[in-house]
Order: sequence, then C-alpha cells, then structure tokens
Amino acid sequence: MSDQQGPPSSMDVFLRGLWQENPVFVMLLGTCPTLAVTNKVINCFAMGVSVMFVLVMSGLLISLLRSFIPKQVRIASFIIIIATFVTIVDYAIQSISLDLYDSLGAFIQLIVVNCIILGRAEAFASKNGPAKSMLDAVGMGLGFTFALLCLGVIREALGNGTLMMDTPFEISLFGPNFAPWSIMILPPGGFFVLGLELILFAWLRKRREQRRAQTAQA
Amino acid sequence: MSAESRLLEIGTSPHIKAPEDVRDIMFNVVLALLPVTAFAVWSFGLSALLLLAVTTITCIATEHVACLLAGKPTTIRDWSVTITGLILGLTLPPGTPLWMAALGSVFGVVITKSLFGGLGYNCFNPALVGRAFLQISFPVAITTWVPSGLPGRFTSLLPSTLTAPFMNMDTGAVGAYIEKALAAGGIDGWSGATPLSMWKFADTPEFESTLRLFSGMIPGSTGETASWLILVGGFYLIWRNMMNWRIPTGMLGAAFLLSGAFWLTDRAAYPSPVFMLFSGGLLFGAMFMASDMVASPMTSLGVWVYGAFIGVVTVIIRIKGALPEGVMFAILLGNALSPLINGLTQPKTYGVKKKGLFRI
Amino acid sequence: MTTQAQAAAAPAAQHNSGGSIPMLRTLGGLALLSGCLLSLVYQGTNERIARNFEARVRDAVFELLPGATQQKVFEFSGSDEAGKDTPFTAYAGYDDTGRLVGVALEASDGNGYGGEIRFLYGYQPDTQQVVGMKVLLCKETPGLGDRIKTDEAFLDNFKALEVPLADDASALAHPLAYAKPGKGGGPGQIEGISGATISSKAVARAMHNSASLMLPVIRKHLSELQENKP
Repeated sequence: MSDQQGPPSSMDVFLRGLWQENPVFVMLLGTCPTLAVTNKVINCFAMGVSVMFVLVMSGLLISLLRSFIPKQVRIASFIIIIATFVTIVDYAIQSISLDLYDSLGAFIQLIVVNCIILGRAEAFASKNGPAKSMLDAVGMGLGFTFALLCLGVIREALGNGTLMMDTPFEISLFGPNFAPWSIMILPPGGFFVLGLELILFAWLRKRREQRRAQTAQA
Repeated sequence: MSAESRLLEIGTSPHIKAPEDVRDIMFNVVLALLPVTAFAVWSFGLSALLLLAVTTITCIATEHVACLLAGKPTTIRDWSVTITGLILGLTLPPGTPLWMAALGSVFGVVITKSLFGGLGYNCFNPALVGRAFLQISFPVAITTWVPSGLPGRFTSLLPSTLTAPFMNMDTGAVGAYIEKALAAGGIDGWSGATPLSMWKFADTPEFESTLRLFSGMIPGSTGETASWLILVGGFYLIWRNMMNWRIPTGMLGAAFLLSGAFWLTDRAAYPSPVFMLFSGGLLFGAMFMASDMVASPMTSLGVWVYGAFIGVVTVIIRIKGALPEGVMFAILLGNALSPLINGLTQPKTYGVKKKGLFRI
Repeated sequence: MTTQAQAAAAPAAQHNSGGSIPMLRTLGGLALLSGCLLSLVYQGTNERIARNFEARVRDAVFELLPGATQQKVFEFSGSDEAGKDTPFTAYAGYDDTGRLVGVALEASDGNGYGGEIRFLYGYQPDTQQVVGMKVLLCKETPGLGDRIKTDEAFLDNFKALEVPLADDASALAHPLAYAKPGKGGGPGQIEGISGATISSKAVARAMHNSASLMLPVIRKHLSELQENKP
C-alpha cells in the first residue's frame, strides 16, 4: 500500500491509522496516556473514544479552516481548536460518570498535548479536504483505541483477573481465588506489556515484509 | 593445517590469558552455592527442594528456548543461567507456590537477559529482577515465612507449594499446617516472621540472638538463613579469585558503619550492626548477587563506591522504608548506577589532562 | 507525502504578505468560536455535573444511615488539634417519622499512596458508634490501594466501630488507630489490608482526626440536630 504512487485511496487513508501507521505501535505517539490509563479496559474505551472524538472534530474544523489559517500561527490555532474539544469531552465525561472521570484523572485534560492529535492536524488535516481528514481521524482514533485495548485487556486480566471491571459487564476470568499480578496494574506493568507488544508487532511486520519480498522474487 | 593457510596470525593484546573461562568461574559459583543449597533443603525440606528444582529447571529451559528463538547457539552449558535459577530459588520463601517461582524465573531470564542479548549484556541481575517482579506482584505470598527445621518436612509438602497456577496461596492453610507439625513435634508457639520483620513490625522491637542468626535456625528465604555457610561459599570464591572481594567488603562495611551510627543514637529502637549484617539477605546479596560480574562496575575505585552505595541504601530502606528488607532493591539500584560509576571512576590516563567530570 | 505538503503550503504562503492582521483575526476568531462553543456546552452539562456531585454525597448518606429517608445539611465548626477553628459539614439523616437516625461526616487525609483520600462515615449519636464508611475520592492504585473501597474485611472495621466520648464530652475516650491485618480487635483499632498498608493507614488517620474534631461538636449540638427536622 505504502509503495503505491499517487494520492492514497480513501480506504488506504482509513486503514493506515489502524495498522500500518498505528499511532502507538508504529509511530510511538501518545505513549503517556497509553502507559497511564491502560490498567482497566473501561478506561481504555473511554480514553480511546475521547481521543477519537477530539481527533475527528478538530480534524474536520482544521481542514475546513485550512486556507484561512496563516502559516505562522497554525500551531496556536490548532491548539485552540483541540483544547476546545478536549474541554467539551471533559464536561461530557463528568456529566456521564464521576467515577470514570476520577479514574482517568488528568489524562483527559492532557489530550490537548497528545502528539497524535497535533500530529494529525499538522500532517494531514491542514493539507486535505474535510471528508478525507475525518476518515483519517477515525482510522487513527480506532488505531489508538485498538492499541490501548491491546494493553488494557492483558493488564486487567493479569492484574485483576477480570475484564471490564467497574462496569455492569464485568467478567471474572479465573474465579474468586485468583492471585492478581499487582505489578501489571502498577506503572511497570504498562512498560513491560507495551515493550512486549512492540516486539510482537515489529516481528509481525518484519515477517510480512519478508513474505512480500519472497513473493516478489517468485 | 595445510601449507597455504599457514598465514601469520595477528591479534591485538592481551596475548596471555588467564586459564579460567566464563564456564569455569560460573561452575565455581555453583560449587560455592552448594553448601547453602544443601542447608536450605535440610532446614526447609521437600518444599525447598522442589522450589529450587523448579526455578533452576525453568531458568535453564527459558534460556534454551530464548536462544533457539534468537537463532543463536544455546548458552545453557556455561552454568550462568543455572546460577540465576539457584539464586532465585534461594531468595524466595520456602513455601512459595511453584507456579509463581516458575513465572519469576521466566520473567527474570527473558526480560533481563535474553532481550538484552544474553550473558554479558544484562544490566541487572536476572535473579533479582525475577524476585522483584514476584515481590511486587504477590506481596503476601512472598512474605509468608515458615520456621526452619519443621518436623515432618521431609515427608510432606507445605500446602502452599502446590497451589494451582494463577491461584492465590492459602496462608491460613500454611499456618494450620505449621501449627499441626509443631504440635506433633511437641513444640508450641511460633512466630511467622523473620528476625527483620520481628524487629520492624513488632510493637516492641525484638532482636533475634546472634547465634541463631549465624547458625540459620530462623525463618527466612530458603538460602538466606545460614550466615556461616554463605560466608564459606563467599570465602571460597574470594580464595579462588573468582569474585571481587571489594564489593562484599564495601557493602558490608558501609552497612555496618551506618547501622552502627543509628544504633549508637538509640540502642532500644535500632538493631545492632551485627544483627544488621547477619539478618535477612544482606550477606547472601553481598556474596552472590551484588558481585555479579556483568552488572557491577569494573574500575577498582568504582567497585568500592558501588558496594558502599548498596550497603547504605539497604540500611536506609530497612530503617526508614516501608519494607523490612531492602537488599534486593538496593542491589538493583546499584546495578542501574554501574555504568555511571564506571564513567566517574575511570583511572587517570598517563600524560592526558583530565577534561571534565563526566567522561562516559 | 512531500508533494502533498508542498502543494498545501502554497495557499498558506499567500497569507504571509498580509502582516499581522490576518494572524490576529484568525486567532481572535477561533478564540471567539471556542468560547461560544464552550459556554454552550457548559450550559448544557453544568446542571448535570452539579447533580452528579450532589447525588454522590446524598446517595452515600442514605447508604451509610440505614433507615434514613430524609436528610438535612448542617454547618458546624470545631477546633482541631492545633486549636484552629475548622468548619465542617454534617449530613443529618432522619427516618419517616422525623427521628434523627444518625449523622454522616466527612474525613480526609492527604497522605494516601496516590494523594488525597476522602470518605464519609455514618455516626449514630445514641449508640456512639460509627456504622459505616464510604469512599468518595480515592486515587489509590487500582487493585491494591483502592481495595479500601471494596475490601469487605476492611469495611467491616466501620460497621460497628465504638467511638465513645470521654466523660467531659470534649474528646474521644480512646484514639482510633491503624492495626496490622489480623492483629486488631482492641478498642478503636482499624485493621488494615495487607498489601495496602499506606492506604489503610491514611484511612485510619483520617478517621481519627475527623472523629476527634467533629464528634464532640455533634454531641454539643445534638438537640439542635434532633429538633430541626427537615
């Protein structure tokens, strides 16, 4: 896909964020919230959805306004737009559930400085039309959510023996006598799981490239 | 060699090499660990034997598989991973569930050693990383102690040893088992605490007698109790010149001096420096873990700094920290500082002016 | 990507010649837009957020005082250990007949593992007992420290914790203190959770400080509480 010439198709724009240019596993962006909030699956969902909302809305607005924004103040303008939507998300989560708001802590407000959002604003939305920008934002948002869930599922399963704890859909995986691996819920667990998953994804990518090289030779 | 290939062989110095190789040294460390291991099995019985077997075998198997996956020749024959397994087993409480011990082994070897490139590339001691992982993950299981020399220890296992994988150990069952065994042997009353936690957490500090500390008839990690046998193993390594004697000397010396200073200020609250040296894992850590060749500094001044640092941090954690024992975290911190210490203590090169403090 | 970037940079470059007016216009316009949008959203969610915060306390009060169906908020003040005048809020709960069931009081400690821990506890003046505890704010580590919210053995500490006042009703008869798991049982002892020592200690400390500050004041104003039914 990446070696094709010319502007990428809509499908490629969408899929790129999910896998090929996955913000966390490939571009290593937004690792701070990735490490911080992934100790519960519900946090991963909430964080992923919040980031996706901010991505889509700011992408749309920036792409619509892209020809009105002078180059010198573009970063400042992007930050104003992003901060607006982050504050909206902040209010929204407070009005939905205070418990969720408490467990996400400062990381909702910190979406403002999340590299993924400013990065997509600068690299994509300010240079493409609204439809494509939104597609790109949804792809990146889903890619980010996918990455958070990859960490969150493992950390919550091993660290607490459940999936979806603190929600009505809580599933106990190992029964009541499970010995939780507390380290998985603590910050070191985030680093370990992220490191191991980076190895896994790098290995998958390498294997696929090798296979492609083989088929190209044959 | 055929005539054509008899070229002049050129190599850089050193040209005279010591007769020992890595394998020899590591094998001697295993020899030095044997008395402690034998005592551990004698004092804690079948459970300790199984625990040591599981950690050692898991470590060896993990290293083998990791080498195969990396496409490298297997390195299990150089004894280093055997030491990792033995040391990990010796630093765990005898009743540790076997699945936790195996998990710690895999974690220590994979994360600390294999991922960094095998022996010689690990910046931390793999056994200690495995133990730290277990300590943080399962704080209750890793601090459940049993008295040494329990009657019936050779015929039955502690109930926690065979805990099903992923399940919590039943501390109540362990207590009941111990009480029953002690009652059968005509002993009543026991304390489920190590000398260090008895001092730290009891309402009035209690100090175990030095004789009992020295002889090893106390609750504790399987291999950390018998001070005299640890000293035997350590002196053997020093005598064979296979361990840098400055590291344990610096570490124990610093711990002795600092705890001595505390002790002089308040003899009722702080333990004597002798108690500090012979309790917990300080001696074992000094002799077998801090002196790990790969993760300790190389310069002769550096090893003193390193040893003293570990000794000081251990005493600070024990006296001021939330945990009764700090050797493990102190050594890991020391490991992390090794490259920095190396850089700061480079010997002066003849004829070269010193340029700055940091020349790493 | 490079060709796209160059193409997109072209229209932006045209603005460079216009001096600072377009920049100010853009930033000003965006800020205005953002302000409008945010005040709209604030209007829409404000009430709900305030209601969430209120409901959190109100539900906790009813949960802590079994039998209470109505509540009323009182503001008192007492002097803390340093002798400083400290205002506090008491949530009095009454049953259907208007009888005072008990009072819910707030306690907090800033030295938990993850910062502040704040909780409400129910106090029954007639039995001189704490009858329950509910955590309102807790930033402790999930799965470890935050077990203070859910651990049954720990919460049982507060099911019938005796907090009698001394004879002159100016202080607690005995202090409330943390005890190691399995080692408690004495008067005023709060058994901690193993693996969550720091969090348990913070709760015990908060409990002691709050009770020794507020309970004497509650005793003094008891008749006021009983008569001013909602």
